[in-house]
Amino acid sequence: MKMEHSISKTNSICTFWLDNHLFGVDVMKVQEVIPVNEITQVPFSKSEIAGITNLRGQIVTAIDLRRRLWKKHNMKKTSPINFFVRVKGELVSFLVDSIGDVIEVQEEDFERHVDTKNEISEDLIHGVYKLPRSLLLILDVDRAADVITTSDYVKRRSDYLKDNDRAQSAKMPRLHKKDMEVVQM
Amino acid sequence: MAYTDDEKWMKEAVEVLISETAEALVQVDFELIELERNPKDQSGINTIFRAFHTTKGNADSLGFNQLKLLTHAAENLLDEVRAGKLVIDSSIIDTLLNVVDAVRSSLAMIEEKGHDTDQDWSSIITTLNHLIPEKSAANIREEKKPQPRKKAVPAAKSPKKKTIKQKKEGKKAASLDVVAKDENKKSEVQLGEKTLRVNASILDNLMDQVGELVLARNEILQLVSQLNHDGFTQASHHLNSATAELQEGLMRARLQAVGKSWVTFPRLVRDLSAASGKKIRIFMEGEETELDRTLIEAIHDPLVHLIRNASDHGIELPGERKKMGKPQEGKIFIRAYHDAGQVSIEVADDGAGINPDKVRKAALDLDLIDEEQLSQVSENEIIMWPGFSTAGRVSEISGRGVGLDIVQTNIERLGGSIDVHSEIGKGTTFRLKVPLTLAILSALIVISGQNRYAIPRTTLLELVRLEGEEARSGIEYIQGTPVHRLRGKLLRLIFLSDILNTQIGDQSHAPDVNELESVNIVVSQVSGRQIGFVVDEIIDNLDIVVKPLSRHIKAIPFLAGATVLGDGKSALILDVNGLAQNAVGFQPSEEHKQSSIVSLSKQVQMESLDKRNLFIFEGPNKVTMAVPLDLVSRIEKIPYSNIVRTGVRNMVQYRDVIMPLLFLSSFFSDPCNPWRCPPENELPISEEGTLPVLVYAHKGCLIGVVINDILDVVETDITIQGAKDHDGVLGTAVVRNEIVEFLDLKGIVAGLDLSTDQTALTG
Repeated sequence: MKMEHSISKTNSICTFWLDNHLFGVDVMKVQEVIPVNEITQVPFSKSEIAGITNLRGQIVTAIDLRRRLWKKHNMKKTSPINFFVRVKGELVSFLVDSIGDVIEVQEEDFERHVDTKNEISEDLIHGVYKLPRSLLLILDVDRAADVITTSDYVKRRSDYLKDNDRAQSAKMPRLHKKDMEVVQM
Repeated sequence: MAYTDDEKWMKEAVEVLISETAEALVQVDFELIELERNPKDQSGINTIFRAFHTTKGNADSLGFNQLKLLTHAAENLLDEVRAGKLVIDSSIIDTLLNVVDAVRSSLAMIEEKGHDTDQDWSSIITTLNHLIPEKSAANIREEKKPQPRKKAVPAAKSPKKKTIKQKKEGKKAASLDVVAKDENKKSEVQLGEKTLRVNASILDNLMDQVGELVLARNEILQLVSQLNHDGFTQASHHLNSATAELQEGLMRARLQAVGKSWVTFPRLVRDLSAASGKKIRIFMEGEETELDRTLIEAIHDPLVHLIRNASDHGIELPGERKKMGKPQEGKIFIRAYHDAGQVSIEVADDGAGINPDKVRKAALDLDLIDEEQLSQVSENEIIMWPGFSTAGRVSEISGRGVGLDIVQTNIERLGGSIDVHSEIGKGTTFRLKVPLTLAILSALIVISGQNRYAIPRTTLLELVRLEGEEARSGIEYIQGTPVHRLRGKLLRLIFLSDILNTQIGDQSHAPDVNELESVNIVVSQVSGRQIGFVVDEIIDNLDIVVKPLSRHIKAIPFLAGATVLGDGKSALILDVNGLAQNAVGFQPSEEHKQSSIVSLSKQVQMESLDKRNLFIFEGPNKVTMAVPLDLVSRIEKIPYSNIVRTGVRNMVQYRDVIMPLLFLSSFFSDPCNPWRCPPENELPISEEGTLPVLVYAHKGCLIGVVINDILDVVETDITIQGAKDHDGVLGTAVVRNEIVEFLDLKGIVAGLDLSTDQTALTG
């Protein structure tokens, strides 16, 4: 996809909104956009992975783009729209808030460096197009899709869980777990 | 262009030569061993001859001279054998096997370098020529002398045909060629009529498509059940059955005889016995058992490993065997058979068996375990541990300590299981169980928290449901570990929600044992142990299509894949082994192995603590049977005249309620029809006119189970042995020197439709 920023004068960008920011992906990479497809959560996966979803019989992993992009994710809500993108020959879904238009952008409006006020992971952004009304952040889909749950990660989490469990069950039988929570609330 | 065309043609021809010859060599290996075992049966010799003959022809036409010379010499020798001038002995077989290996290395070189000029087989060729009886050998030498060997004029075939030229010119239709060609033709014609060669990728692709169809069918069936439209319902049933047949048929098309990969085993065993100085013979049974081709490939290496193991550790040296009073020749059996939708493959030997003391000592020496824990683990488990080995030294065959654990891991990865039975002095049997196919599997759909999961049925043993009071008291804790007493044995429980739901922030189902109305336990066989997974609900039993997980989540050890359920939503397929390992501790790393041993030994202790009271009685066909006494509410003698027929069931008034009677003899003759009352003369009516009845309470209603006779109540600690061989029986055990069958009372009653009885009771 080297061509998109060097040779052609205009590029078609498929846009979407996430937390009042306008993002875009080269239209050729977008497979399709489906509003609200059921997501099945995957235990022990990295927190940026929202789960798996069924796209006409194909199991596709959905990535919670909000968690992926923002350095601090204190927002609990999950975005509803599956934005299916082909990355390295594999379909991946990014969860986004809403879908914008497909727009033509001029090469000369592109700028490589983005100032995201340290909110958004800059290494996941290709660059920015300065549009008349807003800024269009171009997502580096290859990197954004690079969220791998390693077996080490799973092991650490499950160890943590077990230690926690052991600590709790040592003090009192687990039957009271629920009660404890009530008390805390 | 012509040049490149030629080159292309050549390349293709070489590829064909390599693949065809390699295929033929496997067969040659097999036939040679057969021939050695039974020299009188020469039916295989034509196959061997043909293989060398064809290879020679191909090598000649492509200019691989060394290969040609070699195969030609082998052909000469075989011709003598065919003509009856030479008697097969082991030196001939040895030499021919060497030829096979030489041809293989030739092929490897041709594949790599495109020629075979560097290879010199003259020593093998000389050996071959020496084996030919004097007269014909003289001929060969005579004709061979004038030409330098490298000129590639092969020795004459037999006294009948004098020179190679004659043959090439085809003046005399060489009888050999005619025979060989005719046979080729014949077999080709037969193939054409009955079978069709299809590219495997086409079948794979079709299987994918059928997978999609199955999913679509599941979806439609679910929609139809909501719609209640007659025509649509009928059409969908039609779709359903057609899909099922298509799936079944295509699955069958992908199945191949498991023996396909076994043809290499006789050769393997021969080589192994030669290397170790042991006498070993392999017996194979059930080669025709069919299995998906991907699985056949996948289990090949584990089988090879088990055979090596049997030769190296199992079978003793001939002298030792003689001392033991065993025949000097050791036997390895490989047996495949279908077993309830799965395929079982056994690798058995009649060798020394697994010596528990030796295993324990080795485990200690290798620091896998400490003395204290040692007595509490079974040796069958130890031999499966990573790093375990009893071999005093590293031999060529085995003993590197990377062993059975790899076999176990590989088999479990396929959704299968492995277990061991061994008797000192008598031998060892490893049994692998694998599913028929990998693409579509039969699974239990369960709910845990807000999610549905699929559990493959391959590891499933049984489902247990506890209700009401049973649910509240049925789960006990031993040092924080939840267990359930399942027929007197403690079953380690794992709350699926504990492992899975907390991980996805779903706290809604943290189980509160005191409030549970019902508990569903999925009892599974994991690495030779039983583990019960507690799920919220068991909802369905479905054929699901296994879909791979993407790289993002592939490494999670609890997941075996994903699938799409009937409502179009995705669900995860659980890896039961992975889950169990997590609950007992992660296997691979050292420090975790320790903790797993500790929890294991705990479990073993708990099991041996249990002594039980058994009710012993006579069942149908005079079989002695047993049930745990605590399952029995009462034992009664009920007057035959009190039985009242209502509809399909027979009832008696028992205390204040009406109790249905279940006739064990009817159940065992037809499990679907346990309520049927046998004719009066078949009933065990006593002189007083009463029937012995065992009263069993199930979900608050009573059921009278009619048995043949009341025998005894004994207190004993027992282990149920033997697999569940038929419905209604859990297995057998020895109680007071008598073999008794354990009646699966819960299982039988769980299979009944009791709805009307409850109304009968309340009404």
